[in-house]
Amino acid sequence: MRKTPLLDFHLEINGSIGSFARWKMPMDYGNMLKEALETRNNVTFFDISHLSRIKVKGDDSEEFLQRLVARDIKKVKENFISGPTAFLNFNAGFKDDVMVYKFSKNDFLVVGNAVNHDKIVDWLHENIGEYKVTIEDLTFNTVMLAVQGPKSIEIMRKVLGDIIDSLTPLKFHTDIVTEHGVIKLLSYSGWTGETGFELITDIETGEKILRVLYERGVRPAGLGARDILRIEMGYALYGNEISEDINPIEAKYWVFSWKKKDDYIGREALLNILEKGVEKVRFGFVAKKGSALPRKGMKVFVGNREIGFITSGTFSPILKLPIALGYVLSKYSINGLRVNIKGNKRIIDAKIVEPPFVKNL
Amino acid sequence: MSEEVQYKNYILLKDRKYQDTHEWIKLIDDKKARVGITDYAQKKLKSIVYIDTPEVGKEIEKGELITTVESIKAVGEIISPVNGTIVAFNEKLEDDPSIINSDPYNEGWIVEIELKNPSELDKLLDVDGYIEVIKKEEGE
Repeated sequence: MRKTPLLDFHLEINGSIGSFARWKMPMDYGNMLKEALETRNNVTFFDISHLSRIKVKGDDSEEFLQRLVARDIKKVKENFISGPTAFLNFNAGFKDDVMVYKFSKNDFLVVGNAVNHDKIVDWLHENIGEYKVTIEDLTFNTVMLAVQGPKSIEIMRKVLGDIIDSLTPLKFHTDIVTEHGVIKLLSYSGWTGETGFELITDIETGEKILRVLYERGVRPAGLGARDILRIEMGYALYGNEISEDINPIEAKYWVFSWKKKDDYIGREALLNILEKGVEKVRFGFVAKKGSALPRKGMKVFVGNREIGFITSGTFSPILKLPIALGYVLSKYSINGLRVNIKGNKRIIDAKIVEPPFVKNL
Repeated sequence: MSEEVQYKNYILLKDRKYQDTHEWIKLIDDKKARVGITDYAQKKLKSIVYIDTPEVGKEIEKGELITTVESIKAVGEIISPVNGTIVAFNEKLEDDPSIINSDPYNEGWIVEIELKNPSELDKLLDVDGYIEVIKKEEGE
């Protein structure tokens, strides 16, 4: 079992520890609904050390990643994150969805899903061939934190100074010396749909920064709140909405550059799929107020006809409604279509919608 | 206020009986009792966001399903600890099922049952018996 290096700190602040993708980490701090609302309305911090952090260095780094991910990495400016991209397999299914951080042409960081960590480390090694690159895994000797919410700029300015104001979405700074220690990486990014920042530091510095934030009144939020927030934004989660058997077109997850000229793994299959069309398409579902929750694995019906399935479901504390993500057959991909979600001996009235469910950016 | 017992961070009350499926039951007069879920159960379920409305007037047997509650994490079944008739449902829970989280033993009661035989309560668990159930589930 892997665990966040900050586990003791989370226990100290009453974190409820659970496991996710073989990681022991905080699921909540007593009330995940409140933690999600606090992120939307104010600011919270998250420990996201479970995410994989893999450096790719060396003369051929850019060519190597250009061949492995679907986005045009050459177009990414130095000290910027690529935006969501992915390692695809040869059928254009997702191996992992990731963010690529470009330090320079020969220095990158790839941040991906905990559940795919070992697979992606192997995938990188398998594909090195003649490329002059080295792979360095930072996952287990650093921590990664997120500070998210409309008040995040204000609090981070107080804790880290004016450097915050020089950041714009997807921009990052490296090796920032602060009174709390050295921040290896500070970016304007997140996965909540709110303004926010993500930090990568050594373990000691990470704990110090969390303590400073906590003492200044910033509340912690766990993985439960993080899941609610990403569903509210309609973001795909690996293992739920996407997998090796799902491609970016049906997921409507724009992880590739339409105009990318260089070849990459999955490109040919992706172009074929674009021409041929897809049989199912990802959508959101809003259930009637007061309904039971739609859950992963439940089926979607129109009348007696099964037209889709649910991949994630939750309760949105800001909308006070059950919401879900899932897939419907392309010919039923109609915004506003009324459907029944069935499973667990329940029938839930819902309608098909286009996420995000919460629009505030 | 009735006497509170704490095991780990779970609260138990001495004025009522418990069932190993995590319901509590407390007499409110000679024949009627309230039923709800324990602090342990609500802490395991976490944020409760839905409750099925049970059928008031329905006869129910010990061990039968009264209703289900849902949190984001899981679905919880509420099993009748006694034989009797459901005579009331806490309708406040329809608008705000999170009351079960904030006050599981008082405002968060779920149903009232008219008991066939009030002496059935004697066979249920007291605080110490229920602590043993928690210990077992926590693997101790």
